[in-house]
Amino acid sequence: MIVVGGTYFETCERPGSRVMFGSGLRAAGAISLVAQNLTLYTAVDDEFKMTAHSAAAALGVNTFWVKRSEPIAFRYYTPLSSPSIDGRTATCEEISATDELALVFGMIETRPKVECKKLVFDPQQPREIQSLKISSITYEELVIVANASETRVLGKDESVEQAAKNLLDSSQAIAVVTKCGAWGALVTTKEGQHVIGAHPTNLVSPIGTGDIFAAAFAWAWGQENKPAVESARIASAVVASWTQNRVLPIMEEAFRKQTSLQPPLKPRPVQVYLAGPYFTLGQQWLVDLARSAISGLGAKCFSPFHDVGPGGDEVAIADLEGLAKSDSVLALLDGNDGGTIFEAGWATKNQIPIVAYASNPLEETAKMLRGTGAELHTDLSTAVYRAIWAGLRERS
Amino acid sequence: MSGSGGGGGGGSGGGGYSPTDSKKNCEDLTFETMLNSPDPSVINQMSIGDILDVEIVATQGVNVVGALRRNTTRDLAGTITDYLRELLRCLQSSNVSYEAEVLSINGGIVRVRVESV
Repeated sequence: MIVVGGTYFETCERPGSRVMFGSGLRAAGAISLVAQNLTLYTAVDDEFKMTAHSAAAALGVNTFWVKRSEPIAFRYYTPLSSPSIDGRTATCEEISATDELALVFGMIETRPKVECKKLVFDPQQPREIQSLKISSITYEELVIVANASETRVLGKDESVEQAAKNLLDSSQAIAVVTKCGAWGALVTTKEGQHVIGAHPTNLVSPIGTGDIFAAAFAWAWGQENKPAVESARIASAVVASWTQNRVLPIMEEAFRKQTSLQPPLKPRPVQVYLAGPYFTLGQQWLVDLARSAISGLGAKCFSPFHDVGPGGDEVAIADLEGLAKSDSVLALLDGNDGGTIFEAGWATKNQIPIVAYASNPLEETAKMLRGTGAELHTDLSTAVYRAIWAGLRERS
Repeated sequence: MSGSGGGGGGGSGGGGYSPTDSKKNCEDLTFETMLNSPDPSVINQMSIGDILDVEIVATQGVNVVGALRRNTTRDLAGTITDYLRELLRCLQSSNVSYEAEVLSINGGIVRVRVESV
């Protein structure tokens, strides 16, 4: 099996991390214990060469390196933020690879030439994709693994379900697997569409989860010859296993048995009420970030700031009408805003589950929330995902 | 879950955002992380509170940063890939040494705090 993809420097401010991964190296590292005769084909520049070689060796990944013109770095402020990308104009020597099974990621610096029989292709262009760029790849069977926004653009429809069907037809893929974040995944084949629920986890680290999903899917479908739907289920479980500790390579047990995971949640339309102050620049930034994350992860977000607007006493009723129609609440507690606390109390009375985020652990001020069953998190990504999962659970 | 995407060809900005380009002094480098490639036979001998030495280890001709037990055989418990560039630089070209305190061990997964000595 081969993995063809990028090796990039990735930094995150909060929580802090600095790693040399990228889709290609992370995916190869994920399956290095279970994939047969695995080789990663990737590129690196002189500045990061030592670090990249070290990272690959640390994960036991056999790698074929080509030379890249300059570094490429992805810089996240939070794991939920859009990254800033350095090195967009980088180029590299030709990557040319052949094997029976190939997992190929879209790369910034090149379009690799690959010959294979079974191809899993992940475009890796959530914001810029215009077409499926696989003309440099020859294959017999194709599965496209893409996220929801890529699927909508490639399938030319706002409905993910319809777009996936369109993409299946236009690409002649045998399956289109659409990653839908916390909501789960949608598998589209000629036989129909299947939704795969996400396994809730106590901690979530989103950066790289898509790479892990594609890698596990490629292993299950391409090497173990499992059907696309079962392969997607395995991939979803492997991601859940990994995101809680982010250790690579992933142990074989995570691929073959998923006994320690919480059962998957049934995907359905879900709305999260975003309760939080928006009176300062920092507060508005956080509200925008959380809203964008909730929407991007497969849920609808009711944000009073965006959906009702700032105002006087008259906004209270409109806000509560939105809250009444919501399945869960994400409460942003920094600043101890009275309106946020009121909305949390109202939700508690009406049995709408609450997941709260605060930068620092709250003791006395969060007593009533904790005492009535709300979850409190100091990690924003975890809070956002768990708010969506709380909404997906059936209300008792 | 299915994931929202990795460090691939997406993103909105380019070129201008370079926050903490880590000009930290080697002495100031401290962080918590998980050990990658954990060796179960070594982890089974470890306990919370153990101190591991963080050193460069040659693996098939390539330098990796490993966490080693302070036993007679200096067993490799696992590798460190977080802040790897900084650790390689500091371990190779400064007089600073690092150790990793074991914070938790859970099903073969080891969380450590890396600090300069």
